[in-house]
Amino acid sequence: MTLRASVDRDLCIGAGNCIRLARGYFELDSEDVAVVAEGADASAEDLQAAERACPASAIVVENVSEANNGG
Amino acid sequence: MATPERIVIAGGGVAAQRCAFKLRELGFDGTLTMVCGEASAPYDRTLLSKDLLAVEPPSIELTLEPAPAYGEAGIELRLDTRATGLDPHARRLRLEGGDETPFDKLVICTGGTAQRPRALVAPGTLVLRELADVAALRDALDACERLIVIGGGFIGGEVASSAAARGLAVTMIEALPAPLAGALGPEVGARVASLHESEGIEVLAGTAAHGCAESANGYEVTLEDGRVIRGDAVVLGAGMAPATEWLAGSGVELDDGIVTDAGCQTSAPDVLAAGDCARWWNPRYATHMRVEHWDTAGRHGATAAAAALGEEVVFAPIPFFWSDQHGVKLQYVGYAPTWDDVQIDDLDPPRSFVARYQRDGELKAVFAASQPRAIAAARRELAATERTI
Repeated sequence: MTLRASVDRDLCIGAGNCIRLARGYFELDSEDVAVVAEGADASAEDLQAAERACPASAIVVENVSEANNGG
Repeated sequence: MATPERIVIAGGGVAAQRCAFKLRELGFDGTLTMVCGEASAPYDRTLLSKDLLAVEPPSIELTLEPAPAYGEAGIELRLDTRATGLDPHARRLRLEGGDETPFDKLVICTGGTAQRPRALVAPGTLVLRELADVAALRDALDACERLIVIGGGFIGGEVASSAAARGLAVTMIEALPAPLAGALGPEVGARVASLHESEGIEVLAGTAAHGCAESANGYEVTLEDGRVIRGDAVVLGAGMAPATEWLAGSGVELDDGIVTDAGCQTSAPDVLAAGDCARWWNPRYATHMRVEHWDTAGRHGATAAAAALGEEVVFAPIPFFWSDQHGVKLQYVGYAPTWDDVQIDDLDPPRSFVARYQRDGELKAVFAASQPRAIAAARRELAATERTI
């Protein structure tokens, strides 16, 4: 299973839980909003933990395995 | 004021941890010590009542920073060491075991402890506040068929939710007319009750638990109205009390928490406070307030770091908290100790709704289930309209 996460800028409050739970995958930008870091890589379990623990529900994790198989 | 050379942080929660790392980020290069009462390095307390109670907890990083980060940042982490007293004039913090540590600045972030009303404590009654409480609670859930949760607040609600997900029969006892009715009012509280009930939890609201005793095969909780509820285990979710008893006689002003100004300064020179233990002046609302919210506590700790280094700071956040119950994200933003109107939009109750609390026609707070976008909009609305200085 390949997962990919994205952050909804309108929802993010910069709590930073994701940065700790999926180390290296997210970072805070200059406006204290979480963004996906360049070359980001994290385990499925860590990404799902970050999604669950986001107090603002700003993280969406999608399964992109299907897309990869198709392409 | 001369730059402090030695800063001590009493406490080991998120406020303490954020304060310590913020001090280094701001360039403080003196001696920095954290005195933590718990045996674990600072961790994410919000996960205790959620992920960690699952039958098979996910392997997630609990610590806020990996252990080596403290050494690398030159932060001395003294675990399993509670602060026991303070002499603000001599600038010395007394520690468990009789040791003392001097400071130029002290930041108190000792958080709180779980309330244990005497009448409700029987041998084996469980609480959940610290990581050390988790093992016993997990053992009880593993062995239990019928769980009694006393208190319908956030800890009670999350524990009940986790237990229901395990397939246990759960009874929740709440003294108020509905869970969370104190903060949200009875109508919105009723929706929270419905959420629990829709997942099979029995909610007994409007009657307080009166006593708790071990019985031949479990526990018996007696209610005020005389009913007796039986279960295999009892979890007490009776709220927390600020951990400030160790400051009695120190001269630091206490009033349900450590009283500070908007800049984290207590009544004692060179002693600051932040997080769940602090009752601070929030100029946004022109009132002293104490909140027990994870996100606020972390930001408070970071603010206290700047204050300890002599920066003029004003801590004026809009309170925010969240809870995960039965797969529903419950969120609250704002400050509404009283209101004269609550507008409820039932989108798909009880799993999805929005409640807007107003006073004199002005929005004061919003509570929502599964509606993060409504919360984000409310946050912007509140930030734009509320007074601040």
